[in-house]
Amino acid sequence: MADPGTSSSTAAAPVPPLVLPERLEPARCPRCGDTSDPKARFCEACGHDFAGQDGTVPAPLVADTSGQEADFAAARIATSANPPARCAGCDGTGFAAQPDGGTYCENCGKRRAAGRPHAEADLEVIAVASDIGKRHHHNEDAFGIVRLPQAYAGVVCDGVSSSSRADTASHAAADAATRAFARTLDTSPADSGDAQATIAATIAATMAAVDAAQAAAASAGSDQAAQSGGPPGRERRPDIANPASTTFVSAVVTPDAVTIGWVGDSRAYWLAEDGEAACLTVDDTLGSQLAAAGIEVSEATPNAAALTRWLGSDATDTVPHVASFAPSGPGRVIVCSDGLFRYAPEAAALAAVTSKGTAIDVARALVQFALDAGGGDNVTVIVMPYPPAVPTAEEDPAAQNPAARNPAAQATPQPKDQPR
Amino acid sequence: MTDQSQRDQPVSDQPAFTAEVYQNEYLPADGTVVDAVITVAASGAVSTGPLSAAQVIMIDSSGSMANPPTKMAAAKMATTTAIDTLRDGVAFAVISGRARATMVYPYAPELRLASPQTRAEAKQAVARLSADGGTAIGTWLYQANQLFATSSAKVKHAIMLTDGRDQHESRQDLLAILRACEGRFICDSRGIGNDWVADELRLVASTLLGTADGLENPADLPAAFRSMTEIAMGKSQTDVSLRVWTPANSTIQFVKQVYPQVEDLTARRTTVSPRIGDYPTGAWGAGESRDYHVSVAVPAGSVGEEMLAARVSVATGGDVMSSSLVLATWTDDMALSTKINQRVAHYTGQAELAAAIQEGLAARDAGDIETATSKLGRAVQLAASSGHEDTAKLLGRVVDVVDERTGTVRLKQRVAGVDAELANVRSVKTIRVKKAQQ
Repeated sequence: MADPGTSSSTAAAPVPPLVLPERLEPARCPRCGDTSDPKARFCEACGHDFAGQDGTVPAPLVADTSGQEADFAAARIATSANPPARCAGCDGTGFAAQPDGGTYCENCGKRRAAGRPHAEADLEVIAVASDIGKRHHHNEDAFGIVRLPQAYAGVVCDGVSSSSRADTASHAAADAATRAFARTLDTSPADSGDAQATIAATIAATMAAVDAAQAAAASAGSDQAAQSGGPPGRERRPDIANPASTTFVSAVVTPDAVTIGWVGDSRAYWLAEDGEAACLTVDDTLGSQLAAAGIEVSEATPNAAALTRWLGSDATDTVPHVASFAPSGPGRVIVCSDGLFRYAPEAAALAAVTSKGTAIDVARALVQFALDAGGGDNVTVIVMPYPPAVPTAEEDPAAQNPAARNPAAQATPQPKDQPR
Repeated sequence: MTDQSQRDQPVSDQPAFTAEVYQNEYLPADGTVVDAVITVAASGAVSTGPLSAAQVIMIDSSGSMANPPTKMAAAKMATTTAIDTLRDGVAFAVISGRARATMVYPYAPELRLASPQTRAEAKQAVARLSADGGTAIGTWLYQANQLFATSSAKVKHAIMLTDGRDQHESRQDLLAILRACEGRFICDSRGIGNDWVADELRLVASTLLGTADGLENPADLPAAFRSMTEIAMGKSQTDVSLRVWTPANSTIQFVKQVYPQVEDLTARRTTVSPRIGDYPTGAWGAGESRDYHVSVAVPAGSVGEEMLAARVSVATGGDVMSSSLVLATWTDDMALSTKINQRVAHYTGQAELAAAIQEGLAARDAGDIETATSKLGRAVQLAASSGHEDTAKLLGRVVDVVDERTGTVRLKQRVAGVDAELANVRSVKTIRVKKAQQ
């Protein structure tokens, strides 16, 4: 979480030996949040029966909307915006019966989170994992990933924990940005062969995605305002002190370049296969901005970690920082929330704890690393390889048969070999 | 996420009621009590033409009404005025109240529809009324209830005028009859002269969802009767309930009407479902606005959690007209959690003011000077700090104020009995937050 009260660049925690978990889920009990044995039927801590009415173990969420929207027929996307069906407070399914559109549990009154405590998405070559961590009540981290034949995009939004219902802003923003990327990258000249045009297109796509994210975050915040002062006869709620707000970071990977965009203190890293590692973003915090300007800032400086920019209805400056670079060789782009990098802020330290393996394995392992290091915050990690895998004819229906670029043809992606 | 399109609330262009919540939703880490003031207003759009109405006027005709004779004359004049105020077609009757109730008009125990002719007949019958006998309010109410039972009118309204103590029946008898009348009709009670008892007037009005007051000057009676009748004729929505949903494992500490007068509704809950209860608010006229204070105890949450502590709706018949959300959000930000909502604070003070007056006067009657001085002193202080000038004036007739800021007072040695009763009967009247305070 982008918590203005905590420093985002404390010294790296000692790096524990990395153990790749065979299976991360079910990481924790949906009722009490205690870490649970994946094979257990009941929660060790509270006795919750994992074999509930709506399935068995709490499965990780993968909202894969492949081919469901004609707008981006060739894109496969997955986002974290998917509220849980069961109440975290009483484990009931009272949301549906509730006249507030499922905002509160009709039985125990607890607010419904916008996303799930644990979520993962695996689009084979690119993947993401997200976890609530050990200290928070909601997973206010949100993500979205997009896979196109010649371009990948990933978005992480971290709800600002000092704002009200931060998760509503982060999940809405990530979802909107992801869809915007799918739409624009699908039609942009990613495979035109003109590198300059491609880079310009990815920058334009990033700007459009941030616009979409800001609009969604602002409306998540102003929904609250509408409820407090809306037309009579509707459900109302009292005024909210701080409207929901969120950070934003995105990366677009094309054969020619990696383009990063951000607002706030979520980060993107470049980890080259040859060992070179770099942080691609400069946090929008007072401390980082001063440091970037060459001014020494003590970690103890008050407000050094305070966010200076964010997205949301009370945001005044939402133009993203955008950077583009052409890697000299293969590597990986890691897009993450501070729940990860607080435990390995330096690029080299992060590289040291990043394993080899498939994208989903690496994403899970990094989430697990953060949990093992303390799990003090929500943690979300997107892993994207560079360069994008050149799709085979079998993989890309568009290349195989342009006429097949329609939702029906794309609705059931075939399993395929790992491209690495 | 909140998606406007997913809300399945019925939305009408001109809602009959609006409900507005005022609260501080932020609780400290161990906080469990959620307080909110809900302002419910019936919009001008409520009226679909006047509702059918019935009115029964109960006139105290006990022997004391003849002393001084201006009381009986004023009561007759007031009843005549009320009869003239009735719309054509309103079913009505006039009852003479003594130790038993007797019909004044019509002669038979039934209601008559108002017309030029029946009004004239009724006024003649009222003119012949004489003062003689005792007082048993319950028997009057019983008779009124019998009359209303024959009517299918939407608005059933009674006016009860008395000048003395309810001495010819037991308290149990009165309470039993009140229980039988509850929900059947609305009753405004008024005291005239020097010997009426505030507690009795408030008991009747409170149970039957009306208002109670004392009139110092008999000459004021006709205007008061006209006003009560007009207000009753202006009711456009009956059987209105405050519907309160509360979550599992929570406790409703109280539901009170706090404006225009304090009325504790907590014990009058009707269960709708395990989580939902209805609290009666009676009949509403267009443009009417009342405030309610709801207090709910919820299980302590941890910092960052948010829950719905109550949903307060206005329900008439089976229809839910409007609803508002009372929330709880736990925070470690003291600046947020220590703020007390202005209206909640104001009405907490007004309720304490009413209680302090009633308890202070009761202690004074019981000869407990110390308690009386302390309670009435606190009342003076609360009335002054909230700007409740009417109540401050009434208190000034019972105590000598030394310092209103600190609530230092001395009980007056000689107090007219009616002054204490007036202070008591009006103790429940509240004022809204003054603009300057907001």
